[in-house]
Order: sequence, then structure tokens, then C-alpha cells
Amino acid sequence: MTAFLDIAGAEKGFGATRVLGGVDLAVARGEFVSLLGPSGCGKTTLLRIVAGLLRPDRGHVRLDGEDITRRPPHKRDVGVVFQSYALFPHLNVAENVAFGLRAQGTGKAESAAAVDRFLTLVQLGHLADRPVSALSGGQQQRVAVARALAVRPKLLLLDEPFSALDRKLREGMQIELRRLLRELGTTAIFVTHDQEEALTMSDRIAVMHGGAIEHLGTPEEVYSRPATPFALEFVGLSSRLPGRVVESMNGLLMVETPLGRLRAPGSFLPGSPVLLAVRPERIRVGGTGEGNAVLAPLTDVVFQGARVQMHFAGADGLPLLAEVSELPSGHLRPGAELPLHWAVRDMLVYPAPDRAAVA
Amino acid sequence: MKICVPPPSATLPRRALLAAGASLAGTLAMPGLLRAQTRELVVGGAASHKPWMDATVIPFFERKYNCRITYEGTRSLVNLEKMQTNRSRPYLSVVQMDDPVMILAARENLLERLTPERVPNLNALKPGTIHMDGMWANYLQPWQGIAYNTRALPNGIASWAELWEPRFKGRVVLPSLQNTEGLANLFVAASLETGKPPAEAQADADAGFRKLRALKPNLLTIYTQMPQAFNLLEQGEAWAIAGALSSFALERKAQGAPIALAAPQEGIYASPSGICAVRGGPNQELAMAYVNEMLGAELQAKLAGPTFSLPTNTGLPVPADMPQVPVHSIDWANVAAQRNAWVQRWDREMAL
Amino acid sequence: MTKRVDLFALSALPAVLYLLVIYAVPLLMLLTRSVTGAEGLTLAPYTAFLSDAFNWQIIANTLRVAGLVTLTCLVIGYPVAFALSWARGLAQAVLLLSIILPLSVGVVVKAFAWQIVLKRDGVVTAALMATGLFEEPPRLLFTETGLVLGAANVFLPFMILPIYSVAKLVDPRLTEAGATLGATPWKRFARITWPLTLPGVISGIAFTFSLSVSMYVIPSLLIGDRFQTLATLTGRSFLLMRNEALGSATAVLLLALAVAVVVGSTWFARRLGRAA
Repeated sequence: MTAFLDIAGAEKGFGATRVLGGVDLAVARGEFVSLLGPSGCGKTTLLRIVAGLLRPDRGHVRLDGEDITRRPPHKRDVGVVFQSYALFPHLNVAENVAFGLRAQGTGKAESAAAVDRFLTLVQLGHLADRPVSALSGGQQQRVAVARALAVRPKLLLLDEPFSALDRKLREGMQIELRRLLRELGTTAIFVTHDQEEALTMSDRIAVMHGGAIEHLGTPEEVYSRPATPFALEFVGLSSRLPGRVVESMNGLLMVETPLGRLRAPGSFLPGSPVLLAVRPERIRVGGTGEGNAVLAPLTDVVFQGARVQMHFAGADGLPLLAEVSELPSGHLRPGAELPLHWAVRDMLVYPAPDRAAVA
Repeated sequence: MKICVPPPSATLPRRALLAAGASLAGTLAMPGLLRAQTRELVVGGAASHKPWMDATVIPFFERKYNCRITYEGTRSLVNLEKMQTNRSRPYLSVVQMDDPVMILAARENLLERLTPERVPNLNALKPGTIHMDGMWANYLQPWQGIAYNTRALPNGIASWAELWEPRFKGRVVLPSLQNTEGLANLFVAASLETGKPPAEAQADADAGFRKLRALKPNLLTIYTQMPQAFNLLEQGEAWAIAGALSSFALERKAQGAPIALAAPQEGIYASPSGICAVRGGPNQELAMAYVNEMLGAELQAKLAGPTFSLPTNTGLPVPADMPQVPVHSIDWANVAAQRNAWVQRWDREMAL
Repeated sequence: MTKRVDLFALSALPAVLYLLVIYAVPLLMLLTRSVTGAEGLTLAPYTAFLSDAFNWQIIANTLRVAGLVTLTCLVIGYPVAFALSWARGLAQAVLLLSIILPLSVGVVVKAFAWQIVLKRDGVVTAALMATGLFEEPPRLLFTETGLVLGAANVFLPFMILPIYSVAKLVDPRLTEAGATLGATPWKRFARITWPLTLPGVISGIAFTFSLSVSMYVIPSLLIGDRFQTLATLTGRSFLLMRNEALGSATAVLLLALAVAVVVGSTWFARRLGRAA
């Protein structure tokens, strides 16, 4: 299978700073892929390279079988929804949406029909004649989406389009946008630093760090088996423990940790330093069970509606976090020692991060 | 600003001394008029005269009369404007400007008549240097010839007629007719066109304009600002300024500029510098004393050299280095009568 | 609230008084003079002036030169204003300084500098000759071309600064958005950048035009006496011809032209603002 969008070895530096270091990414037709990472990870740079607003120092971008690496943005058929929306302040809503069509030479009547259709799709038909400055943030965002989609781009790029919206509005818009893109069959790349947003909307997520993709996978994969300690840390919560492999047999490890010996899946040479982690919802509190078990004093209980977070102090001051849907019975005052256990297969193992890199 | 009584050694006429005493008494009686009665003279004149005013005239007069002189250097027409606007309360006491402008000022009744009683040196002047029955007098006579760039024209210029030759294409600069020094060219042209002697040709402005129109291909520009014109000449962009004043041209030459002033065979034109007292101006007696000194042999002897001009006081000899060609003078009354019409015509006929 | 308004009004009082005494009163006197004849109110100075074909030539000179100066300033100044709004740090400071600093150099000094640059053995002529397009050195000094170039040089900051003040507020994302919507660079300029900077352009035009339509010293230095404009004619009417009626009439005409352009461009800008 050849990918619809194929980015190969994209590199970019600004002066001495290397922002993007040889990124490969293949996106299938109709797919929705998120670039997830903290600010400065290179995700916006990658987006701008795909849009043609930046030229990579090295590497290639192919779209629908054509090499577009050196093609100027207006000849790419790649739409962008900017973080600030970048609506044209001197034009009204309908004129904004019509801009691309008119610039590409579409006739008046035809573009008016398209404007109508896309404004209806984003539920702004009644505001067509308003100046864009009179719109709310959410409405402006929808105009920006309608404007980008009206020219029927092969690929839509979205640069943190929800970051200026409040949480409640954002959640509604996420679902709405996802549905709209699915209906139109639009291939999209979505840049965000919000892991929940990425998990909610994406077909696949590329977790970016330091100008490289650390993990590319479905939301489930990225969440349950993050490929690197960074991906682990950036997506979801976890308890992390340093350790050293003491035994390794048949894909099963025995690791010496400050909490005692724990078992984990994997194959490392005995003596290797490793990092262990476990997701909070994988830890059971109280009772007995198979797998790893430790006894730890409770430090805090945080009620979060549907879930409850329980914080424990592990040995050497290492915190342990468990997330349960229901509080166990018994003494729950801080200091109470409770048994915790989790399955061996839920233990995540990574080579210990380089000390220098951590520092 | 201090109130001062002239020292006994000063040659201020007796009457002036008495008047000064009276004005002093007046000042004491009416402190409100203190400023108007202080012994400070404001003298209006040409901006280009400031160097020798500062170096020679002002120190000479201030020392002799123990007072202060403020010199306002600008263009003649601006001086006239100043006199006109402040007619009811003049602040200028003396004005030094060109004769044609003097005529306008006299007509507008802005001048205080000079009399031999108040200005004894009037009696020592050359004929033809006291005008309109003493409304003003000439203290110096600069002359007008053709200034040229000595690098471009090492052989100089012998005749006014040479300026019309094709080799001067785009190299000749003329003063505007609104500048005093601009008028001579009209009469030179009239004389060349008609073949009449200069004095006679001055009546035939038509011929003058006709000939000047023929000069247009050779014109680089027509100036109103003299320093700019000389700058062009010294840089070699212009080769000749026709009707250049000796007071300016020879001054620049003396300072080492690569120019010279030709006295063409047809003759040069005297361009007299006038001095007048302002009607109702402050410190009248001191003003008259100043005019008297400017007309006196002592100061003119000091000025003739640095200003490259002829003195008007008969007590002084004609400088030995004066060119040996005829000296023509301009009929200023005729000029005053025609000038507005001429300037309008000049604008039209000499326009680009 | 009313107290605040009163205070604001009061704070404008010195300026109002100042303008009234320094500007409005003399202007009124000028206007009065231009319509006062020997027998009271008259339009004679205007009719006399306008019935002379040569004076229409002068009006045409005035408007043509002011228009060409403004156009030159716009063509040169517009990209500079953008360079200024894109530049950062030291480059911007240097650029800004090089635009503002020449304002402190007197016009007379500049005119002398132009004389050196434009003369027949000057650098511009040498460059033009090097192109091989000219058989003999073209005259630049004391020509209308020289006047337009020189005046544009003097007034350029008054075009650049208003455009810059608007250009720096234009979000560069807007043209990027235009590009991603398929607009060519030219269409991006015509449909985004130009309309958004138009208010700055219009005030730049108003500044430059009203300055160049009334310039007096620059033409007298750069083209001399052979090229009359309303301003030089006004000066000469008062100073040389002692014709106050004519001078007042030409001054009022000049003022009317300048005001017409400024008011017209403001109206145009407002209309555009409403349209946007």
C-alpha cells in the first residue's frame, strides 16, 4: 500500500537549533492523525512543512502520489485551520468562506452555493453577512473550518484549533469536527498538545518529542503500551519505579526495585537498569490477587466524580497512584497501610533513561 | 541690554547727544518704555553680508558708540516685508538692501529721510549715490560681471555674447528676475539684441526678453538662492553665472574656490548697496549715526577690500584692481515701474 | 461621567486656543484678504487668476508634481514599510533610524547633496551611462524628474511611517491562510495585504500629497525659478510683487486643493472601513 500522505526524512533547523530531525510519517486516505507533543517538539514545524509554509532542509513530502516538497503552498491542495483562525478581518463570514474559491477562479454562483453548503455544515448559515469580528470564538473557529474545507483540499491540517475555546465548548466541537470530516472523507492531520483531545479524535496518534516521533499508533496502543518513557509520561498517568533486572527467563523478568522484587514481561540481560511503570487504573487496592503486590501507606484520596485517585507513598519517597471506581471498605485515613497489586502483563518496562538525558 | 550715554570722544553729533539725554530722562519717567529706549540697534540686511558685518562693522560701531547691534540677515524682499508688517511699531532701525527694493520701501513711506545735518557724510558721497532726495544712499558699489569656473574655462570669458554659444549648452546659470542681481542680464540681452548702447537699450525690454529666450538651451537653471548657484559653479556642473556680484564671487574666489569673475568687454554693471533709516524706528539718532558711519571714509576703507566693491565716499580712491571696462548703471526708477510685469513675463517665457 | 467629559474637554483647551490663535485666525485673515477689493467683497482675484491660461499651467504643475512625488513615495515606501514591519531587533532599529534620522537634516542640506549626486559627472549619471542607453549624459538636475526624485526623498518618511504603523498590525498568518486557500502571491497581495494596509496607504498619501503640493523651498532649490507652483507663486506674490490679493487667492486655492485631497482620502478610508 502506498500512503496518501508520505513524509520521509523531514529535517528542519533554524540557525543552530534543530527543530525536526528526520521525521517519517505515512497517512492513509481518510485517516485522522494527531501530532501530539509539548510546545517545541516540532509538531507545528512538521505541519508547516506539509502545508508548504516552510521548506524542509532535507526529506520529502508526497501527497496523492506526487512529490510536493518544493511546491508552493497555493498549489498544494492542502488546507489549514490556524490556531488563531487567521480569518480575514476585512471580509464578512461568507466572503471569508468564499475566499479560496474565488482566488482559484470558481464562478460567483458556484462559490455562493459552496459557501452556503459549508456554512450550513458548520451551522453558521444565519451569520453569513456578519463581520467576523462580531463572532464568538467558537463561531470563528467554525468559519475557519468551513473556509478551509470549502475548497475541498486533499488534506486538511489543523493547528491546535480548539486551544482558545473553553473546555465545554471544546468537547462539543471536537465531536462535531470529527463527524464532519468523516462525512466528507477528509484526510486530516491535527496538531495538539492536549492528550485527551488526541485520544478522543484520532485514528492514530504520533507522539512527538525533541523533533522526532516517539510513538505512532492507535489511541489504545499509545495509551496502553507507550513505546518510550516520554510517551508514557505525556499520555495518561502512571507510577514509575527505577529498578535492575536480577533474573530474565522466557520473556519474564524479575526486577529489584525500592518496593522490593517485582515481576514484569520483557527480555533484558540480568543487571540491566530499567524503568518500570504501571497505569493507575491497573492497580487494585485491598484484597488479594495474582502478579505483583506491595504494601504502601495511603497519603491522599482525591475524589474525581466517576473515579477516585488514591495516592500512596512507596519506598524512597516514590509515589504510587491508583485509580478506582469505588473506594475499598476499611480504614482510609492517611497513613493506613494498604495492599496493592496488579497483573504482571500490566507492568511496563523500559531501558532506564540515560542519566545525563534525564538531568 | 544697557542704557548708555556715548563717551565724549565719540563723534556723535551734539543734537544726538541731547536727544539721547532726553530719551534717558523719558526712560526714567516711563519705565514701561524701558526696552524701546535702550541703546540697541536692530539692522536688517542681506544674509550674505553677515561675515563682514560681524567681523568689521558691528565691532567698529559697538566700540565707538558703546551699544549693541543685532544684525538680521535675510533677503531684501523679506526685509521689506518686515518693515511693512511692523509699520506701526517698527523694530528695525536701519536696513541695508538693494536699490530697487528701496524704491518700493520709499513709495510705501517706510523710510526716514536722511539729511546732511543728521548724516554729515552725505556731503562726501559720489554723485548719483543719494536717491529720492535722501530717502536712501549707497554705501558700497559691488559690480556685476560673469563668474566662471576656471577649470572649465581656463581662458575666461571676453564677451557677454559668448554665453549664447552652443558649447555652453546646459551650463549657464542666471539669477531670477526677482533677485536684484537678475536685472542686469535683461539689459545686457537688450543691448546685444538691438546693438544699442546699454543705457539706451534698457528701455527695450522686449528685445531683452527675445534674446534671453534664445539662451534657454544653454540654461542649467535660474536661481533665487545665490549660494546654491555658486555651489553649482564651483563643482563644475555650471560653467558660468551671468550677472554675478563681485561682492560674492570675488569673496568665494579669495577663499580658494576655482572660479573667477570676468569683466566682459561690453562693460560691467554697478549694483549699488543701499542703506536707509526706518521711519519711526527705535533709537533714531543712533540709527542716523550708524548710517553716517557706513557712508564714512573710515568704515568704507575697511569694507571695500573684503566686499570687493567700489567705495562711494569721495574721500577714498578707486581701487587699483578695478577692471578697465565701462561701468554701466541701472535705471532703477524704470525697473521699479516695470518689474512686476517683467517678472510675470519672465515666468512665462523662461519656464521649462 | 459628565465631570470626566468636562475634564477631557478642558484638557483640549490649550490646544484649541493655540490652534485658534496661531492657525485659524491668520487663515481667516488670509481668506478675508483674498475676497476684499477696493469696493468691498469681490471674487476678482480668483477670476483674474483663473482666467489666465498660464495660471492653469501652474495649477497643473503643482498637482502633477505633487501626484508624482506621492506616487514615487508610495512605490518606494510601501515595500520599505513592510520590510520595517518584518524586521526585528537591531535590523529594525537601524532601518527605523535610517528612515527617521534624515528628517533632522535640513532640506537645504539635502538639496546640496542631491546636486552632487545628480550632476553630470555624478554617480547617478555615471550609472545611467553605464547602461548604454544614453548617448550623452542625461540632465537630471533642475528637471521635473530631479524635482520629483528629490522631493520624494524628503517626504518618503511621511509615506513609510503611516503604512508601517498599519502593516505591523497585519497578522502574517493571514497571507499564509490565503496561500493555503490557493491564492497566488499576487492575489494574496491584492485581496489581503493591500486592503488591510489601505488605511495606512491613504494617510500616507494624504501626508505626502499635502506636503508636496505646498512645498516651497524644495522646488526653489531643485528646479529653480523656471518651474512655478502655487506655493512658489504665493511666496512671490507677497514678497516680490506686493500683490496681497493674488497671494491670498493662490494660498487659498492651494489650501483648498490640499484640504480636498486630505478630506477625500479620509472619506475614502472611512467608506472602506465600513465596507470591510
